[in-house]
Amino acid sequence: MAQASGETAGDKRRRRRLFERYRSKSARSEALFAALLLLPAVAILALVIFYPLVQALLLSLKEATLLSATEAPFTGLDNFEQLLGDEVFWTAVKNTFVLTTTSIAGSLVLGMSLALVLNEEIPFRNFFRGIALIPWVVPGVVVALLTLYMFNSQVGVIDYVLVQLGVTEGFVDWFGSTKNALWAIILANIWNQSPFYMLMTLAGLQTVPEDEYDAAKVDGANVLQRFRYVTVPNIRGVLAIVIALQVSWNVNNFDLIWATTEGGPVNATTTLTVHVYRTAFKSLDLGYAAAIGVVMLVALLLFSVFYIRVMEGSEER
Amino acid sequence: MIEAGTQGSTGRRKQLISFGVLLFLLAFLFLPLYWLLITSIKPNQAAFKVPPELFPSEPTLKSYISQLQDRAGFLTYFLNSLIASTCATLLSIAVSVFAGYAFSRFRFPAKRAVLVFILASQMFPLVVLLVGIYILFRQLALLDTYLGLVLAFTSFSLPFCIWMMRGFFDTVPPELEQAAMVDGATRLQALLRVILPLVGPGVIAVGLYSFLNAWNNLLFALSLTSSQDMRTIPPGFLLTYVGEFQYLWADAMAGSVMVSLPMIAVFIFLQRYLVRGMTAGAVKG
Repeated sequence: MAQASGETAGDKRRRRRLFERYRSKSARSEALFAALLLLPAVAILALVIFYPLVQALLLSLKEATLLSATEAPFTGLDNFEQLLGDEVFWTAVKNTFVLTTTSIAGSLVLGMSLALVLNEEIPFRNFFRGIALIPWVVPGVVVALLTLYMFNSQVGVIDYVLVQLGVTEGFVDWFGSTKNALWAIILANIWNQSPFYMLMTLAGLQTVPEDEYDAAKVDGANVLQRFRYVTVPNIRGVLAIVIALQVSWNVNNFDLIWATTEGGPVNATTTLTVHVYRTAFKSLDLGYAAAIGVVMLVALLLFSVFYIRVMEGSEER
Repeated sequence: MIEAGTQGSTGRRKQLISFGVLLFLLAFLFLPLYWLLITSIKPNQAAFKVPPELFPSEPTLKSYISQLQDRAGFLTYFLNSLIASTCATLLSIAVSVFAGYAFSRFRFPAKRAVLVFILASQMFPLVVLLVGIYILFRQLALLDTYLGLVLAFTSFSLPFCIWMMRGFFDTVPPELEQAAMVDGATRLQALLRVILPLVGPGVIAVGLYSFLNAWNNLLFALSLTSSQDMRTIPPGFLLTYVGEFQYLWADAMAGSVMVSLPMIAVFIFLQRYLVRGMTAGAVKG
């Protein structure tokens, strides 16, 4: 700010007051503008996330049915007590865990391998990259229909191939068997989710500086060592995000399971999401469903906190 | 990693192994797609043949035609999906552009807390939200309506879309809109005319993400609609081909192909924008 010589102290004060008044007025209109920009987002999120969440929390403490949700009596922690003794709940916990971990592990290996190979200079690379996306883009219901057909125990092509290859004697029962049903779903899940890992890994790989590879080669590192010491540290950030997202998506996995087995046979494929859905919309027991949901929510939030800590901790190392 | 100019037999052996691995992986990915495609051009009875025909002996487009004839409500489902998904996408784009810009440019109290809450909400189990949304929508008479579907579809995409748009806006220097404002534009005009074109890839990423999630969604669409005319494709297919007409495999596959083609086409061309949006800030450098 230029200072004119010969200004009195009163002039300076007056000018500063004018400036402050101008700035605060413009600051107010700026704040108003920011608030207006945020208003639609806040309104929608409050309506479809915040309010339902609070509703669910309250419902978990009441004895409510789908029809009588508004006049339901308050029953405290009864629903949570019921949860502890509920066999289906614990089966669902186990199934959710198995589904999530194996799907992520399988998709990670498959997707990353695909990305590594498709990062090389091979013919028709872009074509392959494009088509490899398709299993991820199709709706879960389509994946379910295809899975039901391919794993069909009478006319499915998978059983036919297995018998031809001599792996099994007769046609295997997939969706009718409590042992096999979950694995059919896991295989379909891996098929559905691998492209996402491939996509993100490819993006991460593009940013690895070529000279790091060259330096490693000069130091005598072989392919595996180069992968471990150059590739992985560089794509670690992307992988962290991808895995976090996939944990959330797999815990939420509904389409594939519901469309193929509705959680059966005999709860063999019932995950927490399926259990909540069935309890709320088939058994109409809203309070109990909400209680299971609250447990899911707490578990996911704890996982997020733990995960963020682990990620930040390893970055500092 | 293999380079293009590696000499000698080790280089060639690595290329062979690499190609072999690629072949196996691609087989795992593509054979089911091949199966989907050829089943859709078989007549319905042929889908029951054991051993299954690896190549259709009587290829026909009958299944596709019967979808277009709306035999199992296909056209209704398609239209509903189109309306609900498009509106949800437009809403997500508009809201996340404004909110993302606000988070990028302004400071205000509790900003970090709000941002964390928005990200955390992406981790909430959807089925828990569904319970609350169902009760709420019943009270507001939003069940079985387009508006209800659109709002519900926005819920699971919006948080991440806001985060993505903020990331994109962060890459545009504030000097640009300040220059525009000095030239006499209001902040809104500066945003819409100067800044928005620069974050085009972000808008595409947000649009793709929202549309994909809305189009494919089963859980909300199934629970928040009850009448045949309001169903979108996923619940429609579920109730038809896993219910009534379960034996019509060829029809089911034909419908599936028709429903997936638009998404596939769009995605193959625009996927790099989505990747850019998701990896912004995650990738080192």
